[in-house]
Amino acid sequence: MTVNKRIIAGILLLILIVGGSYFFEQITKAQGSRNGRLVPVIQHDETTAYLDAGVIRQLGRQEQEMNKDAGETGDNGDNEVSLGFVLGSAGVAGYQYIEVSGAGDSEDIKLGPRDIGGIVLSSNSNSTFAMADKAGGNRVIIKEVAKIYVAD
Amino acid sequence: MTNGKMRRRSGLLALLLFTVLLSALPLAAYGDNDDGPGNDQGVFKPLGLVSATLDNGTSIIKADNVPLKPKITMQFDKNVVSLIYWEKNKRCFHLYDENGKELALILSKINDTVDFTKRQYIWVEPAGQLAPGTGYRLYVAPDLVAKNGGSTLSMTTDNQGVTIRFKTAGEKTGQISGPAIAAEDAPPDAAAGSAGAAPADNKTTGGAGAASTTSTVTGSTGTEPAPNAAPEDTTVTGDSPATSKPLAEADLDQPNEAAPGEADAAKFAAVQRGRRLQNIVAAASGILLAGWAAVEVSRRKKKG
Repeated sequence: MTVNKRIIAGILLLILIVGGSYFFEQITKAQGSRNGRLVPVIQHDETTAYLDAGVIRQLGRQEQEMNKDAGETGDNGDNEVSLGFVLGSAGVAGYQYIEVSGAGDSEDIKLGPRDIGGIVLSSNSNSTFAMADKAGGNRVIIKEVAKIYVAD
Repeated sequence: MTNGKMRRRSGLLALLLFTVLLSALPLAAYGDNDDGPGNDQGVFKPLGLVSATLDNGTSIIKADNVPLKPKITMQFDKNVVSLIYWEKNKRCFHLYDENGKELALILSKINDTVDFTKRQYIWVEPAGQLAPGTGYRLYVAPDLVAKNGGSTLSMTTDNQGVTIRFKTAGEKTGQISGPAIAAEDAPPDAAAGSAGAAPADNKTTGGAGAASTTSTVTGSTGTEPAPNAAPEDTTVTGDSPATSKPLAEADLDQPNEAAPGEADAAKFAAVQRGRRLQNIVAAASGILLAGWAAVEVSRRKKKG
């Protein structure tokens, strides 16, 4: 192979690697969304943020820290964070309702701004996270959250 | 193999190497702006403000003819939009009028998980129209933290935060009637904080077709909380030094504040020069690469 061919092959390889990386990212996101490991928050038909179990744990710690700073005593557990805090962190603010879908055949849940008070998200051991109603005796509403849709 | 051929090959390889190195330079500089996890001793690079500009690209720092509804693009040198710290960071932004009254702000960001290139930008917009011919002070608290959790704005501002002064266009008319959040004129959903009790406007802004999200930060100084605000909304500014010392008149004349237009002006200018240079180098390397490819193609055509 001549030097020129090698150079062209090298450039093609680079293009392939870059293109492949983007493709792989898209595939991973699509797969993650399907099995509840990467949960998109969708507003205005655009994904505004992605959440996963690790983010939920970190947000839980942040919320506890901020509650402590504010002198409040939050009753959320170690791997829990309130839904309101998660939405605020994702930059979601004014909305009419949110619709939370679960992985598999679980039903979609609609929640208005006033309904989310006692709702928490808690990370599961399989890298997914669940939605529970803390106010209603910690009842699990969705076992594996797959999508959060925000409607204006 | 003839000497000519060898020389040509060496030249080509040298050119390729040179191009790769040129391309790598901006990448290295880009990487340098990344957050970094901090070193073994837990020492983090400081977080700094790079620029604060209006839509037309002009700096708002000490600007005089600022529109009455400015949308300010604040660029920092690290990721400040990570959702882990967004609730904390959005409480660091405050706008005060000449009387020290805090005004509501709408903050927008584009999540780094959605568009990584916008991770250093926060868009700041007053919730209402500003009064003409009036001086305002945009204050960013030193607690602003980068995604790495260790780099804070206090590191580059001597724990003072950043203060940006500007004046709106037009003639001052009587009493200042800024967009302070009063119960009757608050946006119906104006609030910030964690309970998600219907705060803020939502709209799509920003570049790259990515969805940006907005939050309204309400002021608590001398204002009433929004009617449907969550209880913690009234403490939105609680972690800021500006709240514990709510913009005394003396503050407005403080000469040694860490305002980017003052003490740090030279530093900001240097950073911007550096960025311009990076862009030029990147463009030059791209042109060189394209030129080299064109030469190669034409040479091969001639040969063929």
